[in-house]
Amino acid sequence: MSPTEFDLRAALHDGEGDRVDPDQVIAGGRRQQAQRRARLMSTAAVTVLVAAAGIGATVIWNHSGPNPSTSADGSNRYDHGANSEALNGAAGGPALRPSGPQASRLTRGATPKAAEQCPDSLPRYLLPGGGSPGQFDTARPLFAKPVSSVVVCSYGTPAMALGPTPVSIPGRLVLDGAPAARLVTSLEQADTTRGTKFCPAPSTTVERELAIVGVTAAGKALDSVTANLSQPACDTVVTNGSALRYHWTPPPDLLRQLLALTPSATSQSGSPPLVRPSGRNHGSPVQS
Amino acid sequence: MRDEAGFRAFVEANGATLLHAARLLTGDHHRGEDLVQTALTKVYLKWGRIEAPLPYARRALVNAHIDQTRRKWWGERPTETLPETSEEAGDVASSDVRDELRRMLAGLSPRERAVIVLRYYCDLSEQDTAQSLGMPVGTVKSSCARALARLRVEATTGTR
Repeated sequence: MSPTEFDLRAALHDGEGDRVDPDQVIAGGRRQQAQRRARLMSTAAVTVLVAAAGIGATVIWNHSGPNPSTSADGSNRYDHGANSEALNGAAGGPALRPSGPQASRLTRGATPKAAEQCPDSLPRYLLPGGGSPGQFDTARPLFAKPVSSVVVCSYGTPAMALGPTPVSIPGRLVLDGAPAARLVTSLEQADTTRGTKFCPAPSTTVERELAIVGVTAAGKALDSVTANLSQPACDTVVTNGSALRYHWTPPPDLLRQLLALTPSATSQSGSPPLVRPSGRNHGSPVQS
Repeated sequence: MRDEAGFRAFVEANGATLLHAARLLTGDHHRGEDLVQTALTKVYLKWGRIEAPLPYARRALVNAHIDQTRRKWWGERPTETLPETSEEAGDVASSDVRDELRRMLAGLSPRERAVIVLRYYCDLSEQDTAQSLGMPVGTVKSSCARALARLRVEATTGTR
């Protein structure tokens, strides 16, 4: 015979009567609460610790990290004065953009922003020994220390650079890594004597007065080197006031970039006096 | 501050019923005590924020029991045929219907057992049982019918 629901209920109620100790439950609850609180505190402590470590790491990274103005590929950076605009097609076309093998690698800690500033005006140096070759050890290096990047500042044509309303916001090109090294090598390996060299008349009207600032790996800016540059590059004079080089010819790819650099403003309103270059080199940047 | 006097009174009033329900659910004296301790601790931690402590405690009891038996290779596994030892066979021969029902109750799945305990021990309606278990009323009905069939109990009363 099958059991009935009554039997089931009776079977389920059979044996009941034991009581539960409320104190034991409360003690267990308090213990669990304390554990939960401790777990919460430790989680919060770990969170704070991780956050502090993250903030610390960020601060350290920002102090020693790459310059914010460094381009994404870490290579040449163009800056037209305060506008900080990259040269685009209008200024020089795609050829001016660093690409492929020319692009150097981003190096952490190199070239702090302060060291990348251009002098307000073109530095004016007396040519050592009056420009006479072989005097006063003019064959010494143009850059006193190894440089990791180079800032090329363009003050425009000689008339713009040396005229009555000189350029105050020069065009700027920052070179890192291999392009910088190639530029420095070309400068250092230029002739130490003027000699006699036939220079054809420039094929274009482009002529630039440049200040080249070498920046060490530690971010220290060296003394500016001035140079005049024309197209084709010939009969140029490069000096830092003590060392001297002649007939500097930049690497061809850099030559186009350097000639394309233009200052963005002058210190006074109005257009700068544009003097059509005569095709002849104006010699050293300035002799005062 | 938690109203400990109120909780104490609640445990005094309902602790025995909950403890026995826990023993029926687990089928074990000591595991039943652990289960009711777990459920009442949850009630204690929520005390003052729950409106109906007894349904909450029942639900906590059933959920804790189902959680304990869920997906554990060492947990309970309902079987069609109950494992009967030679000693038990002798006991069965001498036991009455109640003992046999209690023994067969252990052969149900945790959810079926919960349905039976809530329906026939706690005397909950199908709606309340469904609410406590978090399942539809239809599922409670079918689970209950299946469990009763396995217990070979004749359903003599209608649904409440």
